Amino acid sequence: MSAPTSFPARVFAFLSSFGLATFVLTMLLILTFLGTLEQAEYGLVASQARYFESVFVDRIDIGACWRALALDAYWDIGNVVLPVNILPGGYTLMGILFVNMFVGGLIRIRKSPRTIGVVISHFAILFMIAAGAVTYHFAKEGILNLAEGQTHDEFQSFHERVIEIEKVVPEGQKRTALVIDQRFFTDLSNSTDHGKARTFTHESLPFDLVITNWKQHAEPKRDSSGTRGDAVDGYFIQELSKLDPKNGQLQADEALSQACVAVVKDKKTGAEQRGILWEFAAAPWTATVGADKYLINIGRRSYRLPFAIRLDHTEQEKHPGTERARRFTSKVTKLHGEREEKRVVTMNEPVRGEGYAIFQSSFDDGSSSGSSVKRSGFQVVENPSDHWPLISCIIVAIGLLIHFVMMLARAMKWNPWIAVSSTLFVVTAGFVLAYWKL
Amino acid sequence: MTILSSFPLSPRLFQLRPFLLTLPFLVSACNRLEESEPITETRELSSYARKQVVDISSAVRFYDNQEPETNADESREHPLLWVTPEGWKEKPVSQMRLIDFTFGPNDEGECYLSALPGPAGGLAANINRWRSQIGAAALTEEEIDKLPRKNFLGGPAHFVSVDGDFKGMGDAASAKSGYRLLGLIHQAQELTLFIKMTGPKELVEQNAAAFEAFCQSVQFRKKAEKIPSH
Repeated sequence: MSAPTSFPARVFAFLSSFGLATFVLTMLLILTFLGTLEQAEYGLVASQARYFESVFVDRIDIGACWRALALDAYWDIGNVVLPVNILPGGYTLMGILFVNMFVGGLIRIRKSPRTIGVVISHFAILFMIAAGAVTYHFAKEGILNLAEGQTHDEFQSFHERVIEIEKVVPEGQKRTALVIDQRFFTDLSNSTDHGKARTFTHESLPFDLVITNWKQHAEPKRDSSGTRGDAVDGYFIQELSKLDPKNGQLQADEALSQACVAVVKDKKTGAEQRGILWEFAAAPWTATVGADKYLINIGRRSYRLPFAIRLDHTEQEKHPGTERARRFTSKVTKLHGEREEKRVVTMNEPVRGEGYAIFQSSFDDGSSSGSSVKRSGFQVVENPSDHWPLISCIIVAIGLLIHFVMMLARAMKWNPWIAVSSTLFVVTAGFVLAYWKL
Repeated sequence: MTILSSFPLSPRLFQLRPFLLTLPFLVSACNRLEESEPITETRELSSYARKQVVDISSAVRFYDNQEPETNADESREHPLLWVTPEGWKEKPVSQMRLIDFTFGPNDEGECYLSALPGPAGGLAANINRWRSQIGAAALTEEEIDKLPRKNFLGGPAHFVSVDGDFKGMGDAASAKSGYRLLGLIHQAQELTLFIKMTGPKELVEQNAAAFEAFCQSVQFRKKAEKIPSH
């Protein structure tokens, strides 16, 4: 084949080349390797964001990777960080792979009966990449914790935090909260008086809200000596180690408790009130401005469900003669206004419907807290591409099956179409039989 | 040699050189303090959302049971006052049970007072939790509204009386049959107080008046006293 001469033709050839595919797959392999190693010190969420969801990797912590490989036992290189901004992130690489496979695997590929299986498989892989993009941009995932007898129609994100400001209104009146996304305050991590702060404004508020001294994992401590300059109402924010004291491992993001200082500045008088916001606080901080009261809180982002869930009963089955859990089951009622629908959620058997999947995630018999209240934690997932990976896997399998049978038929000098049709019939019948019997 | 040192400066200005060198950083820090961001996102809260609780003290919000050092002697005092019914045995206070009694010939009856911050999951959830512990069906909101009230700590408290097989936190196999549960739930602004009495039905019947007297005797040690949260 002669080399293309025009510029568009050369671009087309480059985008569809095996070389580009090899480069992208190699880079993905490197990212997976580095991301997995860094996860040991930075945690799953941070590592995922840096390597797999980013356009470019902003830096590589060689020291952390070194320690994850336990090489520091032989030679401790200390903290070595490469400020790399040219290494493409997972998002960019998957985009390039999609274009490469679309141009090379669907458009440029020679289309003949012999390549039909390969084309089908390429299409399915494109579908799987698209599923990943839809999940990344549109999926919502979180937790809904319910005590027996409790009803709710909101779930909370695992990782996204927000600050909410809510005006106190008479009971029964519609309640609305102003929401500040985490990307506006998680960079405010210095001390109160000398560090970063950001002022948040809204026309409906009689005050401006200043957020400062944010900490990713902290708890309020009593200022017993009364000497701390950053104390607010007798408490200060004590930063905590993110390592689990029991095993020395990095704690999951869900276990971290964020905290920050909030300053309410009256727009009319300029008077200031300070309060500490803490994710695990028993109640929000109350600020009083004029005759009105406002509740200000830091916590997980809430998402609304199109229905409510009531936990009727939850139980734990144990392996006979042991204390090991065998199965957690929750009997729930889905409430659509007046209409009620009884459902059972159990491990690996979620309740699906209306674009949501509800999984049994955790169980608490109340004995640890001494409250005797049984609780279930449900993982709630809203993902428009929930089943796409399964569908794409099935299509890939069909495509490869067609291709292999075609090759076998050629070698054995069979009629390829009869061979493929027979194989597909047998496989489909097998699936139907298995589904029917199981 | 810095740029500043190459300029002809007066000795006084020269002394200020370190300050002048750090000026750009100070200015940039001040800019950060002046950053302003309009709030653009709102959300409507669900009718099932936790009720608004207002003016909660920092100590309650942060689960701080420790009193200030200046009040160390006072902090050892129980925040509540009560009269122990005759024949009841008082057990040591635990984190969950602020007042804890046993009664009956073999201490098979128990009665305790506990407190949780805020609505503690809601009135209906707590009443139905108690009912499920003794094998009774859950009540609807309307039925709960119709439950009798008793005066407790100066306000109305929902009174529950249920008979059945008491399993507590255990499973149905370990349930004790012929039991009665008497309970009182008082929802204050900052916390919810529970008094729960369980035991064999006859024994509880004999001690019902003592239960009533105990509930009526409970009062805060000081008028503005707050129960430590857990």
